[in-house]
Amino acid sequence: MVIGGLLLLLHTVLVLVGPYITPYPYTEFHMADALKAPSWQYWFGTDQFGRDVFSRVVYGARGTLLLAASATALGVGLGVAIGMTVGYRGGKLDEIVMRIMDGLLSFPSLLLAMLIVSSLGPSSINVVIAIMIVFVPRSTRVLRSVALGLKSLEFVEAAKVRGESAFYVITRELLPNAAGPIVVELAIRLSFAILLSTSLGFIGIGVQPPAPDWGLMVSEGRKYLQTAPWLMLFPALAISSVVIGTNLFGDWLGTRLAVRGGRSDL
Amino acid sequence: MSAAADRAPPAAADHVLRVAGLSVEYATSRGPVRAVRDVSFAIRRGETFGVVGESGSGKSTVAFAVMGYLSSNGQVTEGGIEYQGHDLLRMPRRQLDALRGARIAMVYQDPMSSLNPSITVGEQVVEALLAHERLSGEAARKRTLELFTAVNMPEPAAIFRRYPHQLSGGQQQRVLIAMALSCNPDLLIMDEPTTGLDVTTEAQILDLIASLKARFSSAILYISHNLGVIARISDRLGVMYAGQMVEQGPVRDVFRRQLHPYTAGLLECLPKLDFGRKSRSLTLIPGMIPDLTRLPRGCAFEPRCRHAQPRCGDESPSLVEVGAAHTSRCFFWRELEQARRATAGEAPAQAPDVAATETASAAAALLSVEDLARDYVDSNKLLGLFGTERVVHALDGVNFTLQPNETLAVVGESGCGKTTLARCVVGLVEPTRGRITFDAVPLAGLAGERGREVRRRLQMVFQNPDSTLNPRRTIGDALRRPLQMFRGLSGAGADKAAIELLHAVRLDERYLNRLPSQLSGGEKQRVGIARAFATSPDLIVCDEPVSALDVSVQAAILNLLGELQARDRTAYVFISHDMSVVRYLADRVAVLYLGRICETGPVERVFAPPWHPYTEALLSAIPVPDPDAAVNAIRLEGPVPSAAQPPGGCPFHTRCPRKLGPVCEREAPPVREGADGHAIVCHIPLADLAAAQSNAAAVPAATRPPVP
Repeated sequence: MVIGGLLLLLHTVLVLVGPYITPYPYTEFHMADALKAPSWQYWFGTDQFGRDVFSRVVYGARGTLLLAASATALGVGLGVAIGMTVGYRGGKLDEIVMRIMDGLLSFPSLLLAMLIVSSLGPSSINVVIAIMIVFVPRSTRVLRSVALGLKSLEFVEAAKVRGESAFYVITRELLPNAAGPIVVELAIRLSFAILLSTSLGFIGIGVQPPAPDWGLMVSEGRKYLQTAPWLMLFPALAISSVVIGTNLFGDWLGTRLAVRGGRSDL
Repeated sequence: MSAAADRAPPAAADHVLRVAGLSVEYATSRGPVRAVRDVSFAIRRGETFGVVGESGSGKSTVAFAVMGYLSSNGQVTEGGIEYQGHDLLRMPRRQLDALRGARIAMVYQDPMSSLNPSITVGEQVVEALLAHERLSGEAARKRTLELFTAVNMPEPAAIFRRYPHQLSGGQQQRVLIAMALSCNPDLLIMDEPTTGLDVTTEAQILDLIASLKARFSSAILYISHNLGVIARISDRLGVMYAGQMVEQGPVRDVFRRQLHPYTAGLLECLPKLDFGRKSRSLTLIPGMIPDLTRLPRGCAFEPRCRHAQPRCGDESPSLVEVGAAHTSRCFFWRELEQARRATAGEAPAQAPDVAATETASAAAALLSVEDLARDYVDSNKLLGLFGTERVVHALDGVNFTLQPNETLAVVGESGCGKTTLARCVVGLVEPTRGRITFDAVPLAGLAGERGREVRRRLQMVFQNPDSTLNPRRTIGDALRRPLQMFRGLSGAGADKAAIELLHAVRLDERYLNRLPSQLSGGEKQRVGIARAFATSPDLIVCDEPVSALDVSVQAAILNLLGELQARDRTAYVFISHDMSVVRYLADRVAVLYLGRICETGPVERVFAPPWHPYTEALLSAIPVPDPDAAVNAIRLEGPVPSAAQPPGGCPFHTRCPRKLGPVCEREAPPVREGADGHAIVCHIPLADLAAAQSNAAAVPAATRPPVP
């Protein structure tokens, strides 16, 4: 928990104050210093155009993490709404919606995201939409099962006897009791969202240059792996540290809230 | 370890188990919980020692300490446990393992979770045998079959090959008893072995334990919260309160002269089969069990004791001899005894039966249910094509009416359809067939489709105190919502009304901002009742509202329900499995079996002969808290038939002790009308039933009310 929390804290700080602490603008070329190894002047070295890798990684935290966070919030939010509703209502609606979700689930996440982005065209917004669509069926399943477990409890029946609307029951009776699973779901999905968005960037159909996307940087640095390994090393380290951080933190939250164990599906 | 060593020398054979000055503490984040304090008792060979107490009294902790199964934060801080002269607390682990299961065996409360669901029950008993005795597999199998026969299992060979889920609760408990007896233990510990079972099944298990006692001569430590069961099964008993043994003695002596106020209070707050609420209210034990981390300096019971004196708050009483082998932890036992002598023979004050005449004069029915049926379809069809579909008739043609301010109790064992009936009435489940009329207006199936006014007038109190309130919302929220919906109150007005409701259920306004997790079970149930009364309803459906509560809490809730009914002139449909509670609270009773009403009528009539044979069996199965009560011989054989394929003719014929013959299997029995709207659905004429049932010494005197 401590390690996870610290890693997460570090990245949050970078997102917030990143632009103020970077030594150079992330697009500034220093052609004379191209492909320099890490030094006091360029902490993480420079790339083929002489851009400061440290500045790019720090700026990249903003792009990558905000993109992942908004995709997660949208995907899980939609999943919560759909899952709670169909779980509580049940019947035909549940049957139809869940079969559609099963259909979406049958595609591997990355493949589905690639399909969506390549048909919508590569842009940050479309990456968010793609990740959101990948997440909806997964979150729906989790929240549906939470709603199923809660809906037969007596306080929900008391609300039904009073004649409360489904909207009231879902938002006021069920939702507060699903807070634990939702928080865990958010934490775990966030790390998957980071992996997915950087993967799309790596393939080259996600965020477009010159944006300092970590996935994109790893992809571009690949060409210089033997001569300038820092080009790939630092963005990759950034990705793994934030993913490990959110995972550890999510696990801790999960046991803390005693909801359920870790999840392995993506 | 050799068999000779653990079969102790004959000198110690006198007492199989001797517990001396035992104290157990649990380490918790709030500090040490002193769960058991200075408990001493001894059990002889062939003797049954009953330990009775409410939840939190430490009775199960005593059992776990004896078995050496205390949880990791539990520790014996003082005292000793001796098994046949050997100190169990200092015994090496290996020696202890050889004893446990073989010489000391335990039967737990929940049979389903004590059995491995993926191994046949026969193999599980064989496994237990092989673990402790040198036997061939074949011999172990043979012994297992003998044991199954010994515990009255029908068709032992067939049962041997079944998995736990294929057995009924009673049969599962028999398997566990067979397993416990497999090595002929010297000491048998039973922790609430009949608590989860229906009353007719419980009666069978108690009969079985009584007969095994004679045969196996084990010493038995029997733990229960039910005084009736303890009276039935034990030779001596100990009453536990807040971790202490407050009274101990031979069963007859203790039940005749309780010399500790707690024991007396426990017996008084129990609803009996021979009086109703209209004649007297239940005596209460006020307050609740003290916090075991901060025990009072003096007597632990002092804050709740009616007889408390200044001395009780200052010093802690020790156990004093009050009779032959009878001890009590009370300074003033002599005064108690004198008070008892003075009141003995004084008949309980009979209040005039006003309510009965009132309900009789009321004309229009508040609720009437006609031919109500509800089926559940249990389908494992694939794509609607392959596989089977079973229709379970949870309710089948139920009729009754209810007058304003009247209580109709619906009784029956699990699976009889009583909860489905409750849910149909309040609109949680849509009936398959039939009509429900409320105040002359036919009701729609589901609550949401009913008018707002109907929903206001028709409320429900639920069974489980832990789920009746939303754990994330405060008590105030729970009460304000119905006030706002149905009485248009908000802000200060709603708060004021909510506080009034809390006062009505004997809670104060500090509860408004608490969450359910900060309340005890009884308090949560009070809030549930307050929530139902918030809309000033005309009818409240109570689904087993007291079955999850301790007896002293149960008494308070029953009194409260009675009081609020008198105040608001509410009618109740009261669902229960407990005949004593029904006798206490009901004006009229409907007995349900397999989704059909088999007897209905005013409570005095239903509790007196003639009975439907099923009612008779239910009544006679109840363990009466009186060791001298004659043990009734009427026992139902066999399991309850599946509601998917109810037996033809009379549904009860498969288990009926008074079955006439083939007519019961072929023809549906007629409704036989008696006096005052009493009706029995049976082939036997009422006069014949009455004659057979009053002749039989069947009914213990204590349960037989005066025939009107």
